[in-house]
Amino acid sequence: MTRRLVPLAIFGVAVAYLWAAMGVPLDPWSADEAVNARTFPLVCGALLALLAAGMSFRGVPFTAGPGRYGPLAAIVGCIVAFIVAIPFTGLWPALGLFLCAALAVLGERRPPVLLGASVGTPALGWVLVEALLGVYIHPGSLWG
Amino acid sequence: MWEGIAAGLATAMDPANLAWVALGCLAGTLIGMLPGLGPITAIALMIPVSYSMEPAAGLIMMAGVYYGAVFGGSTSSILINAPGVASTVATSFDGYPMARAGQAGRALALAAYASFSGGVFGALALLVFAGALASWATAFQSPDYTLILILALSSIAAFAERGLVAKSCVAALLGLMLGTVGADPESGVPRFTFGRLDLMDGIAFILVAMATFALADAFHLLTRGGDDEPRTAAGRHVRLAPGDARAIVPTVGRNSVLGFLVGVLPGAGATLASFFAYTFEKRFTRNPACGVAAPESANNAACMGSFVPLLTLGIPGSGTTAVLLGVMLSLGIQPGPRLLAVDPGAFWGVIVSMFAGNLVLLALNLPLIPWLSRLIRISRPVLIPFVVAFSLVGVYLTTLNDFDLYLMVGLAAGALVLRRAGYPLAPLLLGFILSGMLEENLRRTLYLADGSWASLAERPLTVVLAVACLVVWIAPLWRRLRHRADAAGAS
Repeated sequence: MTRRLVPLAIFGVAVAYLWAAMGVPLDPWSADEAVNARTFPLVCGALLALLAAGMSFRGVPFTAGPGRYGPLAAIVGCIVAFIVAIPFTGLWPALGLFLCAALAVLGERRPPVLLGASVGTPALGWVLVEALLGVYIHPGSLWG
Repeated sequence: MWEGIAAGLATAMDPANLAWVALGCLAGTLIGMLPGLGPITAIALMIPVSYSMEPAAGLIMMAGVYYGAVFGGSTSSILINAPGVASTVATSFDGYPMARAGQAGRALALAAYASFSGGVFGALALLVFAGALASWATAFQSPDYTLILILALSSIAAFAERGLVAKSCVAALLGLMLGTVGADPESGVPRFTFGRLDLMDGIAFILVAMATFALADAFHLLTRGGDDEPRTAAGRHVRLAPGDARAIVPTVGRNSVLGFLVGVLPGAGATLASFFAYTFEKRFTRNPACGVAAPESANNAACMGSFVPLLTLGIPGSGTTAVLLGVMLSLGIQPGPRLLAVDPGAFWGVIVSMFAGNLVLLALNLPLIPWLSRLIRISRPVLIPFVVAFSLVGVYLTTLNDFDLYLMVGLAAGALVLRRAGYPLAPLLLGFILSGMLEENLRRTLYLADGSWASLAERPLTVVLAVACLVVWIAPLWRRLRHRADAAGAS
C-alpha cells in the first residue's frame, strides 16, 4: 500500500490544483485568449496528474523505515506556541521561551545551556536587529 | 578602455574605498551566513550606511556586500544544511554530507578557494568582455529563455540518481505549482489564494527554502531518532585534502566560464548557474570535492556576470541586482550605456574593486573557518531547536507575518512526507524559483505567436535548445534501456 499511497496523495493534490486552476478568475481582456492566467497552472497540474497517476499504477518504493513521531509532535507544539505567543510577548521573549521549551523537550537539562540559549540568543538578536540595524518589531501587546 | 581601467584602478585602490569594500565583504559574509538572510536582505540592510558615502564608494561597498553574502551563504549550507540563499542550495548537496562525515573544514576550504577562483575569473571576464557580452545576452528572446528554463528544470531531473527521475520530475512540478500562488503577474487576478490577502504577493522564497530544507531537515532528524552520528568540526586542519587542488582545477575552470555566461543572462543569475554547474559536473565525476567546488565557483562567477547587464544596459539580471539598481539611482548613478562616458571611475572602479573584494573574502574566510566549523560539533538536542529557531526568526524578520510561519510549518510537514518517501527536494525549490520566469517567458512567447507552441522551435537557437531538451529527456530512458540490455546480457 505504501508503494502507492504517496503517489496517490500527489495525484489528489494535482486534481485539486487543476480544479482550483479552472476556477481562477479571468479579466475580460484575456478571457477569450488562448493564453491567460490559467494556462501555465493547467499545464503544470496536468503534467503532475499524469506523472502521479503513472507512479500510482506502477507503485514506487517507499524508502523510509518506521519513524519516531513523539519528539516531532512536541517540537511542532512548541512552534505553534511560539507563533501564538509573538503578538502577546513580542518576538524576542517568545523566542527565548521557545528555545527553553524545545531544548528541554529534546532532553537538554544543563542549566547554563538552557539559560544561555533562552536569554542570550534573544538578547543577541535584539541587539543585532533592533539596536544596531534599527529594524522596528512590535514589542507585543503584553508590554503595551 | 585602458584609460577607464586606470581610472577604475585609482578609484578601487583608494584606501578609503578598499576599507569600504572590506567592510562590505565582512557585513555581507556575516549576514549571508545567517540562515534566512540572503544578499537582497544584506544589501537592503546596508542601504542606510551607503547614503552617507561618495557614490562610487557606496556602489563599491554594495558590490562587496553582494558577493560577500553569496559567499557567506555557503557556510550555513555546508554546516547545517540551511541554505538561506538560493544560489548555495546546490553547495549543500555534497557539502553537508561532507560536513556530517567529519570533513567540514575541507568542504569549507573547497568552497573558499572555489569561490575565490570563480570570483576572480568573473571579474577578469567582466573587465575584458563587459560590452560584448551584454550585446550578446540581449539578443536572447522569450522562446530562448523559455527553453533554457525548461532545460534547467529537465536537467536536474534527468541527471538524478537511478530510480529518482520520476520523483525529481514530481518535485519540480510541485515547485512550479507553488510558484503560481499569488496575483497573476500580468492580469493581477488572484490565483490559489483562497481569499487570503497574505497570499496575494505569492509565497516568499525564503519561506519555501527554509521549510523544505532547514525545517524539514530538523523534522527528519527528529523522526529518525537514534544517537548522534560522530560529527567532527574542521578544527585547525582547514586545508584541502591531498589531490583536491588537482581535482578541482578543471572543475573550477569550466564552471567559472559556465557561471559567468549564465550570470550575464538577465533573470538567470547565480542560482541557475549553481544548479547547472552541479548537474553538469556530476556528468564528469562523483567526487564530492568537485560537487562543492562546481556550484561555488559558478555562483561567484555568475555574481560578476550579473553586473554586465546592470552596468552596461541598466537592466537588473536578478532580484539582487534590481535592489542594487535602486541603490545606484539613490546614489545619483544612472546605470546604462552612458555610465561609461559620464562616470568611468564608478564603472571601472566597481569592476576593479571586485579583485580586491575577492582577496578580502579569501583572507577573511580562511582564518574564520576553524571557528565557524565548530557549529557542527553541537549535539542534536541543541542543534535542532536552534535550526528551527533560526528558520522561524529568519522568515518572520523577512515578512513580519504570523501566517507565513504557519504556512512554513505546513510546507515543512509536506516536505517531510516527500523526503521520507524518497523524493528529492532540491528540484522542488528550483521549480519554485524558476516558476515565475518560466511562466512569464512562456506566456510572452505564446502571445507573440498567437498561441502556437511551434514558436518554441522556429529560430536556429531555439531549435538547438529544443534538441538539447529532447536529449535531456531521452537520456534517462536510454540509460534505463541500456541497463536492461546489460542485465539481460549478464543473465
